Amino acid sequence: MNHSAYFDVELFLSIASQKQLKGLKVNDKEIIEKLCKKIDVVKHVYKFYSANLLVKESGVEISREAYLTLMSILKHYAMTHLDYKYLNTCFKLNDIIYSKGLCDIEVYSNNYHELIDAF
Amino acid sequence: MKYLDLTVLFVDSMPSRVYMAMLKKQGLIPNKIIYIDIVEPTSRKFNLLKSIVGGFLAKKAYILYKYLNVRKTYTLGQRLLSEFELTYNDLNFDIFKYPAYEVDKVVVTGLGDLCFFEKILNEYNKTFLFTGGGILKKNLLSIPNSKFIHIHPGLVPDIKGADCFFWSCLMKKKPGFSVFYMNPGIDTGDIIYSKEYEFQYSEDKYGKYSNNDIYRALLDFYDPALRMLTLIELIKDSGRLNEDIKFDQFKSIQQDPTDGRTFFFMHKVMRNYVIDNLKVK
Repeated sequence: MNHSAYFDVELFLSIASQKQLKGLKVNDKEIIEKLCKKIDVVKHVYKFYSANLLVKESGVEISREAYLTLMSILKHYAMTHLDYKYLNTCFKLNDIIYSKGLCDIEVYSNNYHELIDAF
Repeated sequence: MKYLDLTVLFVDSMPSRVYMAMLKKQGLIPNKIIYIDIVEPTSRKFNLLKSIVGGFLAKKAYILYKYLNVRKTYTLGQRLLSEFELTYNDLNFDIFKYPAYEVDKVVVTGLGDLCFFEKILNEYNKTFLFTGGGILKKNLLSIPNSKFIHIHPGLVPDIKGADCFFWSCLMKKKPGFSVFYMNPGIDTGDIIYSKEYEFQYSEDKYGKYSNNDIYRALLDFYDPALRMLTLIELIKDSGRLNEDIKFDQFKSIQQDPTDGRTFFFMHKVMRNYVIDNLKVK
């Protein structure tokens, strides 16, 4: 597989999580917006997509760590900007992560209460 | 009675019935109605049920489920309809006896069915009002000279996507509606008209119901009534309420598809937050 033609979600998330304290760039936000759609509509995020993120190029979902990183990035942005769209996605992502067995009830519950407090 | 130069694509549902009742009440009659008889629902839940209990039982269960849902919020529905001087009786009509020039029927398996495409392709009148949920396929939207009007519960381009009645209430503090010509994008078509309304949920007026029931009733009755009211306001504002209405005379404004944001279905927590905030304190 020629990786340069694909979008590597896990790689993006690891870079974005380091950037998030300094602030995400416009391009990063566009990518996160597209990843939101995967969570909201498809309920899965896969490891590789086409360069424009429209077509999945892998049947393998991102790792547990990547899901949790995505949650952390989205939650941070949603709460600092009171962005209701991202907040909505965070609630769904929290449900998804829990239903996939990627976190225990305590993490789920902590996330849930943090998100509720954002209102 | 004034005739609308319009073919209504009627998928039998509560919102579609509200659409038709609102038009009739205003004395606006579409030239033609095409009743789209979808053989069975296409939702994922229905298909799952069908695979377990079979098509016959799944269809019966689906009808029963819809009936019970409406029954649960019967009084609330009645009260919401009364805001538009409508009653349940106004919704209880036989579409084949509706006072249009012509009522036709097409039986399809879904909106992507070739029969449906061919039916639309061969229609003389090329302006359609789509009353159902679901997405019209690209091939349909690209039929030459055809225009499909959609009334969307949000001011586009700011509020596009799903659950937009509630997203509007959250983001704009009031429900807003846009009339536009559909294109293959999500709510990115050329805008003909838009309008916002005030709404608060008064428990004294409408009664105490669970947020889930309020959500359902608003979507079944209030939202479609406001959608159609927006179309009526468009006609009124154009000063053409006293003449037969030709839709190709309305000017439209092109949208930049990259403007605004596309929202998705609300998580139950968000939905409850919005509905709680709609309630008069």
